[in-house]
Amino acid sequence: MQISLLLNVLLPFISAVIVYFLKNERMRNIVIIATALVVMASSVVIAVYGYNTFAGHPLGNINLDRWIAIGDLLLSLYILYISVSLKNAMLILLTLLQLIPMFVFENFSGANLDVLHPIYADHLSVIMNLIVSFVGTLIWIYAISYMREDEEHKGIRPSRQNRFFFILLLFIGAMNALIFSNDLIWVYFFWEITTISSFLLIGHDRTAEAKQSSTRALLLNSIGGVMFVIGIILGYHFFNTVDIQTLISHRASGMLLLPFAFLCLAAFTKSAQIPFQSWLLGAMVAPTPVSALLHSSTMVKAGVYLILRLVPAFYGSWLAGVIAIFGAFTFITASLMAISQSNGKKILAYSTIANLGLIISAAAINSPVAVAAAIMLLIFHAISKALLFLCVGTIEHGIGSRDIEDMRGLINKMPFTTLITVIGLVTMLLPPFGVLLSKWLVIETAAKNPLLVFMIAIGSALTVVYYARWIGILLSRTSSKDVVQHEKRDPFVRIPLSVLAMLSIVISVTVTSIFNGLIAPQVVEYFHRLGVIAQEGSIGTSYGGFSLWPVFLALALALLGGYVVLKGSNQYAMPYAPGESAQEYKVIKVAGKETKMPKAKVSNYYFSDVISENRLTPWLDVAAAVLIVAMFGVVIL
Amino acid sequence: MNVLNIVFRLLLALVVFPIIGGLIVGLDRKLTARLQGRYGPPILQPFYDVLKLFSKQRIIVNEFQVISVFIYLASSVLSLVLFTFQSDLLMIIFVMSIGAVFLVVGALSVKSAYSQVGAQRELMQMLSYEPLLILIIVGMYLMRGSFNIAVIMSQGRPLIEELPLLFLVMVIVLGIKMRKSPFDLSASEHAHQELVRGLLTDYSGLYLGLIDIAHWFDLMLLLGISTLFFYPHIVLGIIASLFLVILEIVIDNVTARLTVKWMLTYSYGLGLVLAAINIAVVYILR
Repeated sequence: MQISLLLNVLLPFISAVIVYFLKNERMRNIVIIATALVVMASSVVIAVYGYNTFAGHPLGNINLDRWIAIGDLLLSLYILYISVSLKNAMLILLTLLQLIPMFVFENFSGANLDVLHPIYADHLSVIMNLIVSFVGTLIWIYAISYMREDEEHKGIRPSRQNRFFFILLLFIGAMNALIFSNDLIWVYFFWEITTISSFLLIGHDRTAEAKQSSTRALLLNSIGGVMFVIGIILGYHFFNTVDIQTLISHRASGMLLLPFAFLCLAAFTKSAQIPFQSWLLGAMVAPTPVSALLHSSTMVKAGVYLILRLVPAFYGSWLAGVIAIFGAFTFITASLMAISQSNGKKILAYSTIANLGLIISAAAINSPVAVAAAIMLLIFHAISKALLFLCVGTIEHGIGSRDIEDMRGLINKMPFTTLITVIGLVTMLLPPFGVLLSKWLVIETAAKNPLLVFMIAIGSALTVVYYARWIGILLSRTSSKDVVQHEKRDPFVRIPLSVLAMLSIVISVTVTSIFNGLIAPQVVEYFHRLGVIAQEGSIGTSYGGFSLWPVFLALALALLGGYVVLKGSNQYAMPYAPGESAQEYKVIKVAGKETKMPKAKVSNYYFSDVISENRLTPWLDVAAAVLIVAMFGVVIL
Repeated sequence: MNVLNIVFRLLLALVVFPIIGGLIVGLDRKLTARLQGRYGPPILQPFYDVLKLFSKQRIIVNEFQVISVFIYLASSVLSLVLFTFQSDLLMIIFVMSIGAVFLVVGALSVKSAYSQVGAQRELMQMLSYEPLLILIIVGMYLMRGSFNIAVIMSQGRPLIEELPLLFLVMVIVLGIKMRKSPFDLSASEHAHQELVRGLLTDYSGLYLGLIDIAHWFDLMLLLGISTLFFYPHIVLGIIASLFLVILEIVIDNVTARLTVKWMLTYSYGLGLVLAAINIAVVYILR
């Protein structure tokens, strides 16, 4: 068991260093793919055999605490160096605010920071580990051909791919390490590695925009870092430990919840919740594999993971009540913003922010059922969202645009990628697929709280709008005229896309087994009760139930019916378009005067006059800030 | 649940209810004609229409239209079946939304401005009614402690006594879902408008006929939900639902179509406020 853990966590770090020094592209690819396979395999071994078996220190006598403290110090100094070279006073201040208190706390406060079991694996860790190990490494493989094309496009010489892959591999190692750490100081260390990795990756292209976005990401995440440090120190002050399992075993109330409030705030910055959303929106300047990684398996998921870890600590408190509202607020407002966007990556970014908001909200609803739904959403969202980002990246390389208006009729140009994209969109949007199933569970459980359910109901309806129209646009086609082109795709693109698409469907079909095997045990461990029965393709609670098989059956019958009818004789016609030939007249006479023929144009409703990103964002930020103040208010008062 | 029971429920959902749905549509056309001073077609006309459509030559623009129609029909049929089997109401609404989404996808897949605009408007119709429908169901849950129709129906007094405002919200939902004026934005019965037939412009023959049938299923599901408000007084519920239909027809004939923004303002402004007041009262009193 120890060995698979070591492989899973340490190998990416080692391979990262090797990749950095390997100039030969072929050798580098071999190392990346081999590492990917080992990481996937080891995560499966851990999932099958390895619960709670990592007691004690994994490396025998080596004092990891010491090494992590040193690593943390070096990392902070590096961030300080970056801040100074960026000449950003705010950033310097934030870095010092992390560095100095942490240093003093670790060395001069006389605190006993020993943790009996610094490494810990329960079902939640295993779920996260599987997501990171599979989705993350598939993104590596995708990145191999993407980055080659990308550097050709942008004419980058000499190649900087070794640096790119170094950070990409490091990122996954840090995520897996974070997941298995039970010592808050360790978590903080790996948390900071993900921060610096994302900073380096967002800034990879070295354009002015990339520099600006990466600085913003570092700045906002440094705020989270400061909150994390305060959380650690306060937590030690109140409970005399940095052991997460011990911390959450105290059913704290009142002022004692303060450290958890700070840690949740740190998680909000990481998960790009409003008002901290701008760093994730800016992050899309990075090459697509970075966006896919940030949005699906790493970085933003670290935030919600931390919240799901801490749920038992604030369960049932007023703090939870405010966090639930805060998450739902992010859900509805980010969904609203997504409607106003035509940039595909930005739509996905807002959808990520919204879904994370929903996960956070569900985690704080004060019901074991909702916590189960939150974990479910975490899994399904990770896979479908990674898939969608990779699709948009592939489309962008294919047509040179990421605007959904430019994707009209894409099925004719890129049939393979388009079909995969449609699968991704459908699994994000419709039942019986997992994302919607989780949403259904959240709404039913949130229904006790009318304010919450109001926000979630409207947010879901908004989601339908921006995803449904995207599907339709992609599929637009006049069969009698449009010829489907043959699409050539590199296997390094084809394989990750196909595997993720298949995964997104397979885990939805096998949702009850996943639920019983991974999610239910975690919820029971937290709360000693569950409240959900998952069996024979249905998920049921004491107040409702969803049976999957009828829906899958109906969809299968529909597809079969469609197939049979299409096999029969059909005549293919042109779309009905009276008046459109008027376009051929450049000038027309209106009331005796010659006028230019106006151009007819059909596009989506974006409501840019009402939902203006620039105008609305400051107000939303203020509203979210008020909610955060309320969060601390209910703890202190 | 014994075999006879299952057969009975399936028969209701697959045969009896859709026929009633078709008759209601026939009634609609007759009544509308009378309101406009015409004689109007026979009540059975919708069935004749569908039969004729089925026998027509099959013409399509692309394959996705066909797939979309079949998914729309399947989801509408399934949601009504789930209703007669007294399943989870929220699940039923979610299943219905599959079909609604695919109807839009099918229309968007055609490069005709009329279909496209109709589809975009239909999305706005969905945006308008979906949250309201969910809130109606949440109201029922708050009263009965369950989303299961069986449980909702198992208790004594009719829901309408405590959820009168939500029943009014149902009027708005039905109007938008049935695309009745002033909410006939995405497609209307009258072909002489600027959108031709909007969403449905590029559907014909068999496929248009299937959409008509799916529409009957949808109509009956919504009327079923409105009947739930009156349970255990089923007869009263049926009368009220019929009254609702006639009310929609009258509104349809005395109002003119309005803009998308107006619809959103109206459904969110009026519908959400009514729902909020009703739910707040129920919530505070319990």
